[in-house]
Amino acid sequence: MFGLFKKKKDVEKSVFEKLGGAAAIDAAVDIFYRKVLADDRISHFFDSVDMANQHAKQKAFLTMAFGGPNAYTGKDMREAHKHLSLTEEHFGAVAEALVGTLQELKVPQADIDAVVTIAVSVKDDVLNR
Amino acid sequence: MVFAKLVKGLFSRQPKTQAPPPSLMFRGQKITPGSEETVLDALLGAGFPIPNSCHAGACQSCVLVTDQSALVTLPIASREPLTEAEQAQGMFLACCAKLTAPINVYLPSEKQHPSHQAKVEAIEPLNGNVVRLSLTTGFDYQPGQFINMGITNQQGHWQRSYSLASVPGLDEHLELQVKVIEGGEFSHWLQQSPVGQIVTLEGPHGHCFLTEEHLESKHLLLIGIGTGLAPLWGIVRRALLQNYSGSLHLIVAAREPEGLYLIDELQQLAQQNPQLHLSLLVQEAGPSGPWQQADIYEFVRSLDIDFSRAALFLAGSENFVQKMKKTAFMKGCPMRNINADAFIKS
Repeated sequence: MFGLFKKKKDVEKSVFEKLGGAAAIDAAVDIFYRKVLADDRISHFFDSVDMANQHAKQKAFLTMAFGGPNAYTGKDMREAHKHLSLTEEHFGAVAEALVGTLQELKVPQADIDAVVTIAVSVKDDVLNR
Repeated sequence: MVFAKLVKGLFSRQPKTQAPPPSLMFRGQKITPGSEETVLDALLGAGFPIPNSCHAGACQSCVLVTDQSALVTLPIASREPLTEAEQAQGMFLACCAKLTAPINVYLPSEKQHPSHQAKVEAIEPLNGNVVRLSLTTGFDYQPGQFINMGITNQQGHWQRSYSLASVPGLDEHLELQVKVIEGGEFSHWLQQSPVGQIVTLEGPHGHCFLTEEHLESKHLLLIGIGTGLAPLWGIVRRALLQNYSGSLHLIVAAREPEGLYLIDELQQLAQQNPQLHLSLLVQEAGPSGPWQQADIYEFVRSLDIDFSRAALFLAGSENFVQKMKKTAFMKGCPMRNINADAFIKS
């Protein structure tokens, strides 16, 4: 019976908690941001941005996507991207970087799927639709 | 008997009603958070658009600043996620801060810094266009921070930001290394033989300085271009003074050999301290000397060090700092370990 409870609790744990909470997110953001900067399809969008600021924004985004605490409204996401004329391809490239990051962190596929579901839910905000 | 009276007296002084909840001051407005409200909740509730996202100390969007003395009254959870240098600046996360005492709160860009008077003791050339300015003053600072120097003369008032190159306790005077630009305000001022004059210094600013967590890293990599050497000259000597035991690399670059300065002092420092690797780089070929011609980004990319365990200090033009940040980050240096002092043209 206790075993059952334990299992249920494990399933309910977010990727954010499984990775080790806020302290572990820094490392995840580093991996993710490196992948984004290394991708020619999207890296040019980041040429003139302040890296420390961008890192902080990505930290907020990954915390949210990993099922961690957030107060996401979509407003800031929309504001930040609307002048960039982004396409499905750009969004796909970022999603790939996100999946690659989770794979590198050895996150199980079911959890990766959960993160992707959250990430896809912000697509309309990013593409300003 | 006396003791009993004293104890009774103490008890009788206990307040019968609860103390009013502590309030915060922000942009001249007094705000009292509700008993369960954080500083962020209270500021948002009062209509101030403080950047925020996770409300749990994870994303660090809501960094605010308070006075150093008030910082300890805030919960540890609101300070711990930040770097030691940020905490030393009075920074905390508003979303994790419930008040236990009244505090003043500022956005990091809006915090006022104290002004200090300083006397110009000496001005000496370090190369064809960089001078060392030695000042007497009496405030605490960390090598690598910067101040705003203000000067009032017949032509009016001007103010410029300069990095601090000196180390408290090691150098007698506060030291600035300033590039003189012909026709510039500073250049005009120099012509008036300002030794003995009093100037105003506002600050210190910035969190590009050495803390305990940097001293624990395997490598310390200090990279500067031009007068970017100024903050690094302070930081490298502070690291040695604190017996930093990892490998210490100081890379100083200039467009051409004439742009380098403090060469003898740097070489002497490297001779005295075997853990210090000094590299002097020039971009364009010229007369031979203790420098080598190299592209600084390529040079850093080819360093045989474990970037994931390195702490970096970068100083120089904004363009250089951005590009080097990216170079080091892509080599595996954690973003948290990259400290930068970018000189903004004024």
